[in-house]
Amino acid sequence: MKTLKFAIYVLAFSFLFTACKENRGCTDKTALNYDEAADVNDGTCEYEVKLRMKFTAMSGTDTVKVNENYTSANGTLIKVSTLRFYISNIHLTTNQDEKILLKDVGLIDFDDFRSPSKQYFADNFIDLTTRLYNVKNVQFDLGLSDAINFGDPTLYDNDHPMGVQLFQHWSWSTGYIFVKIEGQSDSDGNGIIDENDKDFLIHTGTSPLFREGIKIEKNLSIRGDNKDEFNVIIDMNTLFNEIDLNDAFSHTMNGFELAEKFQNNMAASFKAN
Amino acid sequence: MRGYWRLILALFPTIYLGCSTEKEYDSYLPIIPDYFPAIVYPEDNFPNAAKIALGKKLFFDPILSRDYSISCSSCHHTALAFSDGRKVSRGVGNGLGFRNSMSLANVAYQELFFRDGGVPSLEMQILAPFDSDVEFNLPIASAAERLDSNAEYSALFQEAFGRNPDAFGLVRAIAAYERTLISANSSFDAYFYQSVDSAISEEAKRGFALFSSQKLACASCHSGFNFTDNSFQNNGLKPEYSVDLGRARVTIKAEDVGKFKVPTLRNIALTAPYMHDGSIATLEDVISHYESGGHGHPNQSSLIQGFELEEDERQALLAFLHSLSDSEFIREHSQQE
Repeated sequence: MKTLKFAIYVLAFSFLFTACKENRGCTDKTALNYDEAADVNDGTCEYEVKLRMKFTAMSGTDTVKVNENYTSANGTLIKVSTLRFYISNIHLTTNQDEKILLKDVGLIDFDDFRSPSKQYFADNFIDLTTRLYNVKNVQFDLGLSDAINFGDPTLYDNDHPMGVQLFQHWSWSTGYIFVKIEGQSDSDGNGIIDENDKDFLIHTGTSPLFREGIKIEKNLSIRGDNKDEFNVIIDMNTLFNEIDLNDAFSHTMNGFELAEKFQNNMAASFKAN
Repeated sequence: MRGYWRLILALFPTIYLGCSTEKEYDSYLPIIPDYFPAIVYPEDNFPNAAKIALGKKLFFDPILSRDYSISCSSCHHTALAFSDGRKVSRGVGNGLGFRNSMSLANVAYQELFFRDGGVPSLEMQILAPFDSDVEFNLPIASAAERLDSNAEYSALFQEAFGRNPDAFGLVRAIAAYERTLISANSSFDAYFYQSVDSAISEEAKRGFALFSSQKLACASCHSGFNFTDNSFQNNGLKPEYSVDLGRARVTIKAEDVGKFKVPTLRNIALTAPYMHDGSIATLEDVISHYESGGHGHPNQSSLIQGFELEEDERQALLAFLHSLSDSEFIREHSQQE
């Protein structure tokens, strides 16, 4: 009897001891919040998922593609040959008003831009790494802040969006080209765009043209199936609003007024899809 | 006593070799006289013999231009104190630049580069000729690929940087070489800094006095060991600036229109033509420009007031400016070329 009592006490004590030691948390080593000390999985594991931020150029209801003609709201025939720009400080806000940084810098290009070294590829989207959030909005800056704009581009690897091989840096003056837009408009009004029509070129940059805090309000529940997209429209009619494309040439320093006007238009042209 | 001598003689080779090694180690660096400040090297580009040798080879090699026709030395001739004698420089396909090539003598002491000061480091300045369609016109990434496919260059980059040829090493090697271009041995230096009274003529001494006088005010901007205060000034060269806005090209400020970096006057007799656009052919004409008081642009420096010179004063001023030529610097680098 004594032996039985003793065995029961030992058993009870060991249960008690085990219960005290139990450590709940994420036990999956592949999870972002893997807890080495946890021995019971409490279902809180979080995983990296891909969120694609995709930009689409639109004129009214028409999708605008590079090297293809489109007609603007005021009836002008336009062909954009280059549309490339930096966005930076890209972050999302969750429904709980938590701000999550997604990426420092991204280069968007509407013509599947590939650097000469073939190591960097830019498209009209960037893939961001995040978690399963309920997103309220996405924010970004247009261009680069002074903190990163004035650095030495040779310090970046060839696969970095600020690498020297991308021709996005003004070597005769410090800083990057924030936005490059080039193309032609039907300047002679004959209904076609050909070699007789004028080119337009606007390259913006410098500290005064850095535009912060562009906010795209849109609810999105990230599902984590690698098909999540946050779509942003660039309204081309806002982009060229009150800009005479027959007389639009600026490398910013040699045409600051035009560059500033365009940059303000561009910052206002981003909309949720 | 004899024992001490034995000890000294026994240690002598060690001491001698130790000193010799130290001297060899430093021999790739330029000699900086005590009247020049020490060079401040960037943290990510301290010089070493391999870097400098590589930079020098690259400086003179046309491999860096699109059609293999020009090198850095095409616009920076050693015999002309690393300027090129043209109004404006020519690039690949004889393309015309829009500014006069600047001397590279003592470029190690510059803080901002180009005549408008748009670039903050010598390393970053070296990117510009690659991008310009009237200079090398070859993306620097493509130039690095060329070098990477060249066994000799690959080995030299490995030795200098421990990595294959790339833009990072390319600009740092050339910058490291250019920082060795120290010109500090003119006749004027011998007279002024080394107290050799006979090193320059009495006429040149009178010219120096004029240069330093309040009447001419040259030394207000062309001051210090390198005869420049590195400021940006509108010297009244033009009544208006439409082709080249100067400093305003970078700052976008109206008050900077027509302002250009004050150049060094060292080797000035060798670096004609003058001004940012090479529009003044001779030193005599430069003096005449300042004598006239400039064209009166709204941003013109208040120091440009005009003055009158007697002919002997003009000749004295010219003699002083010629005394700033450093024949030893030219000879040394021409031999190396």
